[in-house]
Amino acid sequence: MLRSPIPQEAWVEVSIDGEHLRIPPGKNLAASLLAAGHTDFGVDVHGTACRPLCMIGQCFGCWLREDGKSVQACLRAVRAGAQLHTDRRR
Amino acid sequence: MQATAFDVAVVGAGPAGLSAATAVAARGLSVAVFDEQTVPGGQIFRNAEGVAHETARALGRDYRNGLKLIAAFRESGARYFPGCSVVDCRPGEAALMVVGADGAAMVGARHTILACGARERVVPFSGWTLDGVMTVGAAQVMLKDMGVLPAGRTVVAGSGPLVFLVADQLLRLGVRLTGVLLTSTAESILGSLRRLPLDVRALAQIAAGLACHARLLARGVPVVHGVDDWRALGDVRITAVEYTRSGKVRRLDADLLLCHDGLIPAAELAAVAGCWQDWDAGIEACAPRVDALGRTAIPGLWLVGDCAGIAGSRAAILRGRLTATAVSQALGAVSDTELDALLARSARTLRRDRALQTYFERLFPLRGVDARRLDAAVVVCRCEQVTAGQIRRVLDLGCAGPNQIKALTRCGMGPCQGRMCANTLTRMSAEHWGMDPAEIGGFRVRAPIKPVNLGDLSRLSGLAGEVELDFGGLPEARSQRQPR
Repeated sequence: MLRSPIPQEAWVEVSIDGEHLRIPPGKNLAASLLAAGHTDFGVDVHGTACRPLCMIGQCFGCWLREDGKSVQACLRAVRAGAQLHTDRRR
Repeated sequence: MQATAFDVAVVGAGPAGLSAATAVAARGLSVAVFDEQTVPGGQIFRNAEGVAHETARALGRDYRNGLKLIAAFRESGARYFPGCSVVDCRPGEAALMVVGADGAAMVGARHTILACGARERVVPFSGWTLDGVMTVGAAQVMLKDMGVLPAGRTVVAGSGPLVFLVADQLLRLGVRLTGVLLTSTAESILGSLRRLPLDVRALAQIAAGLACHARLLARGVPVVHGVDDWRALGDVRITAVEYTRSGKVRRLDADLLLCHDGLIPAAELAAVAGCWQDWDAGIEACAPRVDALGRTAIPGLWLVGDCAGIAGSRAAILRGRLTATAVSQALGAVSDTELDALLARSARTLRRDRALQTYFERLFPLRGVDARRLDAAVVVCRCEQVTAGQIRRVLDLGCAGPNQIKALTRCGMGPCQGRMCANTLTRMSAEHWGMDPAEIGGFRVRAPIKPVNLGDLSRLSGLAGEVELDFGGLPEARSQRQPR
């Protein structure tokens, strides 16, 4: 769906729902996940898949937990070693 | 009561906020700017400092000009707090509740300027919850932040000048556009011509839009006018877009659909502060009520830029400067005559930018929310999965508007707090009851306007120790508040 021009040598590792992923550091977290092909942002309380729509902190489609704390991924920069969890029901 | 930490607090670091903060700081007043993003610029000048050269070129001169504004702000002496959400606004009390990565803080200010900007509206359609459907603005965010581009067949659909602009930018950068679907009809184009703003800059902007149109056609991109509905097809991922034009249904294969139904003011903070909202029939959305100087009826609360009515970035910069001067005058740092002179100088430009906005409103009709376009299965509230059918059912039961619909269906009760569905509910209610949307109104907005982690609230501390805090003001202020 998306392609990224950032050279992969510089990418850092994060984990999302226990799966390891390499994405560019310091960049928009939601955009980096999408560009890496990770379009799964978990399911809501109804079991329906959540998807980023706006990328400007309005829709909460990219809402996840970073190191245990709820954040909107589109408002966060990628940090090496970040532990991300998408399950909203926990 | 609490000690005032700053003369002026500004919420938002887009064109309006940067311009206001810079102008206030230039008067020797203390000013703090809180912004959700990690770098200044807002959405229009997003990442202007860090963008790749090739991307900057495709984004055009207006975007690159944002650098000057950002540079002036960086040098202004204004305190800048990126990565912060302001979740409550009470001018006259502990003005703002700010939540950052390191915790939450109450920030006091003698005057508060809200520059929260706008958000894209998406009128719901079948399949808009599929993987591969985003807004045109989202595509621009990814482009500006990290040069990420759509990789497959991309369809752009909607109303408003941004649709054209982004389609053109994507085409320049080599994206495979398989269709541009627009709501403009022969009738709306004629109607807009009667509103053609006769001023050089506006005409130049319209000419630039026509040039985008010509480039799209020259490159063989189908540009379809008069589209009154579209839907995304697919199981989990989008595979195609189906659209309706003059009663005929056509299909385009697609890997990505970028949609956009105009911009509406992000007015939540103004609303929690108690600012009156009016229905703007031009944009078909609620907008906070302000005077020519950006002053609200709430003492010490001012609004600038698109959050006080959509008028674009040039108007936002000008309104920022104007309101900053008015605030400085209220604080005794500027004379009445200087303020009057600036107001007189700005009036014509602001009137012209408003006229250009009116032209675009006429050119691009907004898709309706009647049962034909919005069938029963379409999800209206993405957070709580409430459908148009459920909403019509409770309207049939007698629900008067958004707040009652919310109570019966949970529509608008999810994490986005109604940002994505409020406008649709007002329009659906108005249509159901045959009433003016102005009489229907929107959701009652309550603080905190974004979900806050309890851990942050419990520690309500300084932002990396940089802000003077007053813990005493909060419970007292809360207990005095009238129940709403």
